[in-house]
Amino acid sequence: MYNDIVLDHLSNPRNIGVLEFPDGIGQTGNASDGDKITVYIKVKNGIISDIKLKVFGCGAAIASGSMLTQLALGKTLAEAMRISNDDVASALGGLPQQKLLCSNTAATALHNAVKDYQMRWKE
Amino acid sequence: MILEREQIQRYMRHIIIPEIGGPGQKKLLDSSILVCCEGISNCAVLLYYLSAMGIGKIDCYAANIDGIELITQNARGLNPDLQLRIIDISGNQKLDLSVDYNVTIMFYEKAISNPEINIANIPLIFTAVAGGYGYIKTVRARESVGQVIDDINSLYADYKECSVCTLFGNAYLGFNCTLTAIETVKVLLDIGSVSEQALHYNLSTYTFACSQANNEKPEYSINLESAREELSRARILIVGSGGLGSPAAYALVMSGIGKLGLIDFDTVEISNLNRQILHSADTIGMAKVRSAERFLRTLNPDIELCTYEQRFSIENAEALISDYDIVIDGLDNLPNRYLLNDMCYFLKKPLLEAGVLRFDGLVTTILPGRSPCYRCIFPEAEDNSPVPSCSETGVLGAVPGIMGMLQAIEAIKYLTGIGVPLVNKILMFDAMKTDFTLLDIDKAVNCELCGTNPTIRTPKNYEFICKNQ
Repeated sequence: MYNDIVLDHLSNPRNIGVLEFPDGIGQTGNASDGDKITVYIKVKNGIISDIKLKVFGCGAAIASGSMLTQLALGKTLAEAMRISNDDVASALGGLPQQKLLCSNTAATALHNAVKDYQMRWKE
Repeated sequence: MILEREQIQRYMRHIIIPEIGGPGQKKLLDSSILVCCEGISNCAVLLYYLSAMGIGKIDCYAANIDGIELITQNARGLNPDLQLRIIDISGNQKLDLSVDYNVTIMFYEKAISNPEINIANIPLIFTAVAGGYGYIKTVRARESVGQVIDDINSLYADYKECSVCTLFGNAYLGFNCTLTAIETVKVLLDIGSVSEQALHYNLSTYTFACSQANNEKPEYSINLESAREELSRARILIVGSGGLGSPAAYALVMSGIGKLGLIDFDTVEISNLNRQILHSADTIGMAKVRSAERFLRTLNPDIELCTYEQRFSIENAEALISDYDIVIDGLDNLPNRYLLNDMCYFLKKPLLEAGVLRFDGLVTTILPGRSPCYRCIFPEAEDNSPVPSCSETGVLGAVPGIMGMLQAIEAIKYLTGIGVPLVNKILMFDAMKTDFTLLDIDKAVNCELCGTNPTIRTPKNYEFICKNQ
């Protein structure tokens, strides 16, 4: 059901964990949906200098979260906001149709983290 | 990739649990275990769950190796890559101490006569079964071994053989084997809290404590022959032959019940094999009920087995359930759980209920009209919010094993009237802490099904729609 890129990421997800002093935190999903993703970012000179991911969910949710962290690391905030859930799915070489809506929400979590950063550091 | 494609599919339910993940599963696949036991047939379930959860290498020293072909075949069926050696030590062969094991399991069924435990490796998991009493403790320092031997010997010294307990023998052993398999995985992965304080339990009363329970001989006015007769006449339906249905069916068939019904429409998939011990790599693609039948027939060729290769639904539920005395819930989805609960309520059939997720499980016995129903405990969500059915959820393979064994124990308790059943009680299990909690529960007065003003008067179909789709 999953291709090799997806299997690789879900069985060995990158950047898993929590940042102790994050500059921004973003979430998607909720416990009752089964999938819950939290993205922590560190921002230096407008660039995402570190990113960590915590994910409860199915294989597709874990793989898309893992891929997202790779896509986002080193990007400017504006670039990060342009990464879409579709971009994550294509970077993974595609996801099964029934997983595209429910489980591929990591980019939204990243956008929420960037917005959280911008809110916190407005002043 | 750190795991092979097939391994990822096989252990998907473990890999998606954050505490295990791909790296944790790899550790299990690379680990080697030593099991020292008396007879392999009594710890077959331990070997099955260790194999199913992906332990790479198992050496098993046993004084009695009756049943070796079948047990080896079944264990390898769950994981063809398993390296399993079963070594007959009835002739006092010395253990091969040159091998390094990640964990050693000492499995006792009687007092330890020779306290010279000649094992250099730690950690050691000591486990013992005496009827409904059980003991488990993980030892990380060799100095504590003496204390454990005293503990185990006093368990057997206080234990008075109780003839009616023999009816439960296989289910009690199955429970202990499964608990030991969970402990092994936790020790290997260094997750959760392992039983470094001994766990003493009594499955007859469901007491779980860190110190030895009051080990009195219970008084039963029950005649063993009539209880056995009751079991051999019993007709039990298991709805679903997966993670819960497998261990429940295994224990019941071993316990000599009369007739077992199995309903499931699914076929065996590779990702089932981390927990569904009746199935095998050789039966992938086969209907689960056929695969289960194949296994169960080898345990007991005489049992009356009825298999239904159908989806459990409102159309067939009534006709099916009517033919049985007790129903065991081994379903994997909420809509059908509500349907099964409602049907059993209307048909006045006892429903032995259990559920699992990741490292947690719960079990209760529902006697329609006399104890809380599934809806009393878990009312339907108002907003029809979706359940995690569009996404796989993780489960550690042996956790449903514990719950299924408890369902089998509950069935035997109900049929024989022996022991404390989970009526008006719910038993919750947290595998990470090896914690069992017994809660008293009450019927909900506003229950839609069995409350004072019921709104559900006939069985109906339930559907949950995922709001994201």
